[in-house]
Amino acid sequence: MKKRDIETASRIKIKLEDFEAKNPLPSELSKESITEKLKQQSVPVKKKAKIIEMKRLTSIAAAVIIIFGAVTAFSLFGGSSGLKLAIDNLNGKTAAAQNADISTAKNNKQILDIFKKLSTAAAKQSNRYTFNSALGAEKGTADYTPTAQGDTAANETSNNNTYGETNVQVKGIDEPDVMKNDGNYLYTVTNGNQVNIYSLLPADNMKLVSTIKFAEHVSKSEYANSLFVKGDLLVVFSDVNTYKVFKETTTAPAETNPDSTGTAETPAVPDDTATDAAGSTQGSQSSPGSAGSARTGADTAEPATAADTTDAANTAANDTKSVYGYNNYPGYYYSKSESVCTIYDISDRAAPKEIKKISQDGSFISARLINSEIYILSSYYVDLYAKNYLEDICFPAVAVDGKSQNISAADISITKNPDPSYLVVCGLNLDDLNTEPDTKAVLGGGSEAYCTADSLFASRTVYAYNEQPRDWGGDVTVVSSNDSYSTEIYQFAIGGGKVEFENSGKVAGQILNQFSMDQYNGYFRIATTQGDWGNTSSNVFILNDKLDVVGKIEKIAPKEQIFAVRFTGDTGYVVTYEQTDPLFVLDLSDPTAPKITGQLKLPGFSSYLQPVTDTLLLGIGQNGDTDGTTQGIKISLFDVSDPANPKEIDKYIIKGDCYTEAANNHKALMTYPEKVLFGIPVVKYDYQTYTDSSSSSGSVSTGVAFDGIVSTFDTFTVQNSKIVPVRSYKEPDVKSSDASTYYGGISRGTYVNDTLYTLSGAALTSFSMDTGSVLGTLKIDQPLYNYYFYGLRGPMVMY
Amino acid sequence: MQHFALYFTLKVRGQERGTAMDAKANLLVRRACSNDAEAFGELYERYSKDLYRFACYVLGSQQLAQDAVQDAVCAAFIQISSLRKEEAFKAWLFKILSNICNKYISEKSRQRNTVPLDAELEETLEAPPSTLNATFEMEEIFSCLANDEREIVILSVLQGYNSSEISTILDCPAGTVRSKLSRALKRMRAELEK
Repeated sequence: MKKRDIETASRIKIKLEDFEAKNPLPSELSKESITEKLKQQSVPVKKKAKIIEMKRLTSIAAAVIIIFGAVTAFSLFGGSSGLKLAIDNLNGKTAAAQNADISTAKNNKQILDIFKKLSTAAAKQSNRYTFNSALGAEKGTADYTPTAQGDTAANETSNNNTYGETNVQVKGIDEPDVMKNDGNYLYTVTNGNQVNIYSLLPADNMKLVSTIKFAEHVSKSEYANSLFVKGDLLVVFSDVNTYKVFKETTTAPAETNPDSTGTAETPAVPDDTATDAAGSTQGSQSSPGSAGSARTGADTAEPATAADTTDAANTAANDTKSVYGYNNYPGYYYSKSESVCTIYDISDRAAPKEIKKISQDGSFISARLINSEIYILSSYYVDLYAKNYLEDICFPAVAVDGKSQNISAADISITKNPDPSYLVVCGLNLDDLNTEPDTKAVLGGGSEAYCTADSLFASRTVYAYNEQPRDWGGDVTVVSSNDSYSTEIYQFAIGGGKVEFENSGKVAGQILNQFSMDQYNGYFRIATTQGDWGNTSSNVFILNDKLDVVGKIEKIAPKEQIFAVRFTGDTGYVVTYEQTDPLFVLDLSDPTAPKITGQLKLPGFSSYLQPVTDTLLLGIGQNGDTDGTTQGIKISLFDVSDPANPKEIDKYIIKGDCYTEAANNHKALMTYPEKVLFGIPVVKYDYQTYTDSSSSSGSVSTGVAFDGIVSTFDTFTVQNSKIVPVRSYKEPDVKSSDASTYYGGISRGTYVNDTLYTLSGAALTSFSMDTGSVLGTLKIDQPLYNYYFYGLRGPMVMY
Repeated sequence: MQHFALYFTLKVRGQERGTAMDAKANLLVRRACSNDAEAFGELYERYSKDLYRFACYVLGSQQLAQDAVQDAVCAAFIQISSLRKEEAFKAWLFKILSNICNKYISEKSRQRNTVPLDAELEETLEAPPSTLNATFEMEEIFSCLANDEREIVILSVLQGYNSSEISTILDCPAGTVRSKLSRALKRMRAELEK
């Protein structure tokens, strides 16, 4: 452009911009009225009419082309590829200008190259042998069948009930849990292997309405971990693990699937056999550890003959039974984790009908339900030792109703220093299940999730292996640097069940949990602890919408670690702990200049903070004295009305050797806002004194022995700035020594109106909140397995 | 240097929404593709003023501009699934609006010679093209330009699109855009200096 032209342009521009002030957008063109117009247009009949109009419009547009067309070198109209080409050109710079630490994958090759590099690096670092069998061949639905039991929704009542909902971080954004209550029915994940639907009303006649069982195979396990309920849809999340066990001591890999014969499996695993057979001829491999170097040659081994293969497979089948025996410890097993989301139509609660199954690679991290939109996060670790199969496994796949598809390179963002693991985010809309779920992945990984109505944040802890040579008077000693942990934050724009990678950011230190993250007024806040044990300190960072740090408070409480964080609006609360519990109150109203306004030192610590009102904060955690922790659960009530001077105005201590899941899992806290009532599951370890005179020396020893647990659900209220214990609910007919209580302690409590329900692995019990009396009990079938225990996030498989 | 600075400013304007907004816009476009009117409404809101201004100047009437923007948005919503690349949304929307404005103009000129067959069309055209408030002067300046020149000037000066971007929107080669822009600015300069 010529200089004169530019001057003219700027003069015109000034005049044109003047127009905007004097001619505001007419109300007919407001977003609201346009949206309304579009909604009406969405009606199919009208749409048809509009399409005709569009044809007309196209012809007119074509006329425009004729005007320009004579001199057009390449006509772009109509041909979407042409448009795409030009727009690529148009936006090329924008894409490249993205955050320098993260970029969209160019193509599949780029990703494969990264994994090849990572694999080579890993092989150098480790003496573990390179594993190279057929992987991930099994991808299908697990074996489970919905079974109907009991009455069909006999006790339907109006849904005007006040009922308990899962305690969540952000109001209106549901988090999955092992129990959901919809006012009439209770949906539970029980002992990981079954999902039960109970009718809650009447409270003295609760019924098991239906059960969905999750089957267990040796080579494949599926455990439900949590669920959502949205109207007549039940969404169950489960972890599916597929195992392939390869034994070092035999000539063949053991495909340990008791459901199929070895012969049947043979065609699927010829490579395994070839590899293992070749491997074992090269030397003795008595233990997996020593096998490292001997295995290297196996990569290039010729495939074994068909006969060999069959023999080998038969051997494998015979060995199956003893594969878990100590002597036959499997040499190497490959386990593939998938996070499965199964959606059931429960319009008939007695007969849940599976209508959709989405299986994404990786283990389940978490999920969120916003209105009808579900976002699921999983962490997919790529096994670098499966060198020959990197190509197959280096892309995370998502299977919809059994049809699996790799996430395309265009939907993968690559971090600068990726770990061989992906964060996979899958979005779907329950109102429109016919639309394919939307998936995005970040090559890097992820661990914690925080979600607002339109953004999803995932954090990843990055350990920088940062060795620094240091001179100790002649000898050079290698020490690791202090600030070795950092946290990467990945932000996704979400809406309508769709996911778009938006941004990434990085701060020093590690986060504690999802409560360490928060977004308010366009700013993202994150609290981290950095440094080695004994030399820690904490920080709070404030990041802008591009995830650049704009403000920070560093070196909060040296030598202490963060035990709890809660952000509410302009205020942040951080609990750090070493011997006593300082509660810090932070003023974050100026994002560029956050500051500590007050602090309070107390014995013990809170590990979960729950705002009660604007000025009252509840802390749940561990009791203690000035020297450290002591036995007991401590519930503190903080008055934070004066940010400079937070006060503990009351405390309630549950004495004894006890523990509450609510201190570490906010979902275990029951809140009844209408009654300002709270409830926590409490586990007390029961000890019996014993006298032992059987010693050969004749001396008599006495002591205490663990005798099981006493499990209760304790409720308390906050009244007149006091914590008032209300009731401690205990399942009837349960002795502390009962094995069932060992994994059957009360894990959750909920309510419908004035009835409180407790759920344990052994029973669902209803209580009158007025009298505390037991209204009804439903025994829950005990699982047949004894090799797992019930954990916070469902069962853990112990092999 | 000044030259480059302004050119750069103009160029960047079209992309000023940077990385953070790109993802949100992409998301909204993809939602709109699955017939999500709310998402489309949100997208529209980002550009509503630009679209309205563009139509006002091209058509020289607020009433017609309002109709043209409404038509363009409705048309865009119907054919959004044909939009391949999300980032192109704004340019694509302008392209549709530009086509609709051309339709209005050609129909207006045809009206002089022919009797309209379409009753609805007649109604639209009977609305007297009112002059724009407070920008009579601008209207005069623009009156010296042909329709396509007018569009090029608005897209370039107001929306900050460069010639290759305008060439995409208006379906003509970038070289033509540059020469037309230069010619238009020259004529406008003369008009301004009158």
